Amino acid sequence: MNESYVAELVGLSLRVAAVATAISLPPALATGYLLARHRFRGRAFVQALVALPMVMPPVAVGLLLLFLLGGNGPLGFLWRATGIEVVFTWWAAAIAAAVVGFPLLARACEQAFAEVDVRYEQVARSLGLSRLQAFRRVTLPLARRGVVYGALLAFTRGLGEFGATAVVAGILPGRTETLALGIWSRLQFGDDHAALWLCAASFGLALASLLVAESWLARREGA
Amino acid sequence: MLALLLGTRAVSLQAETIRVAAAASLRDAVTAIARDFEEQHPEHRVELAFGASNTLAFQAVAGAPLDVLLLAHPDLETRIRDALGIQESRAFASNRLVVVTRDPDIAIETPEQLLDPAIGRIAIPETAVPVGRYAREWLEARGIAQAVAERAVRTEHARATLVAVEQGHVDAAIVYASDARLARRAHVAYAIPEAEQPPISYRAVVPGREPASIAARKWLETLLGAEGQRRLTAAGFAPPPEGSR
Repeated sequence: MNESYVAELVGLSLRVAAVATAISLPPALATGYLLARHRFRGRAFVQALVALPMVMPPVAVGLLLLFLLGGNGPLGFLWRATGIEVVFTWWAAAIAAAVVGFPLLARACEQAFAEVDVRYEQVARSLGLSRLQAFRRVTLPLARRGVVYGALLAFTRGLGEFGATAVVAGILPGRTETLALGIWSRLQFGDDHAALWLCAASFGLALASLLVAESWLARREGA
Repeated sequence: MLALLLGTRAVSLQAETIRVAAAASLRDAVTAIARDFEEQHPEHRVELAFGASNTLAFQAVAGAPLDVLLLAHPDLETRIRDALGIQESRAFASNRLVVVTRDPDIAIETPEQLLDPAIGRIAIPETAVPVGRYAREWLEARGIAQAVAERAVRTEHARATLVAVEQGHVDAAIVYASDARLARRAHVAYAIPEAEQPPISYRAVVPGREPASIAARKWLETLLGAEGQRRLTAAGFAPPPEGSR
């Protein structure tokens, strides 16, 4: 019995989810901060926009990404100019997971920043720190707990991403085949034995990452 | 020295990966051919993707970087031609349709028996999927397309259709003869007569407006060559229809 493919798929899934979280972190921090600190016209609209990738059918998100990033799409020229292809590579899987996980992370950031008393920032500013410095040295450390929790949730969501990934990254064994895609394609080709092994692996992986997220939250609350 | 540098450069330029997307029914044969190809041409690597031909064609049109598409229906070419242009297109295999059932006691003598109460649900993909389209052509010619459609369970692609029977989700399915050979828990209940068979033609398409890459051309050579054809025959495919190359 050779189950080496399980390790391979787990490895790729971890890589995709990690890169996805890293990609969505900066924009999530920015939008989270914007929504937590500013009351402006159209704020509800921005909030809805942020949540959109989570409530839209993932397949639709994948399709939009495919048109956006594909060789004929509006961003296609970028890839042609640099010679770097994204669609149908694991980068596409990471981007799909980033987009779908973004709402979780942005929302967590917004809540984390909202909990930080704005006066700490004002004091920091009055002591001569720039906005960015105040954010980096005061607000972000204070919001760290919520931000990390959001990142872990987005990571977990990225681990299981299927719909968007299948469209924009395809199911290329050994290249873009993450756990979720691997389970689906093995089911489609009647390889139940392998599909069940991969199910077990994704169960373990999801449980482990959720446990890490929850214990992180608990530990910081106690401290 | 310069020649040496240029020489190595040329070699490294040739060493490329080609992405081949193939109809689900071709999975085993094309996986074997890819292995042969990499052995013969160690300078090339083949990346394979399998799925319904129409999905793969759609992904290609939307910009997925695929070097060669192995499609189960010639009409899919039109979409690719319109959107991307086509450098090469060759027929490389054919197939037949059969009806499989899970229950080994069911034998079908006429297509109308598909509507027997003993057969409840029938797995057939949407007509967008080649095997679904071929099946519909056949059923329409027999005048039972509508009645069968009412019992149809729509599957993802040819291979998934066989899996649906084998796992007992449906009682019968219309599948390719090549797929039926792989069945372990289903049997051919009706071998559709030659005269009723829709003309099934698999085509290898190299999309693009620039000349096909060396690797893509080598791939076509292997696929259409004796070795590739031997692999296809061994997997239950027939040679391409006469005059369609």
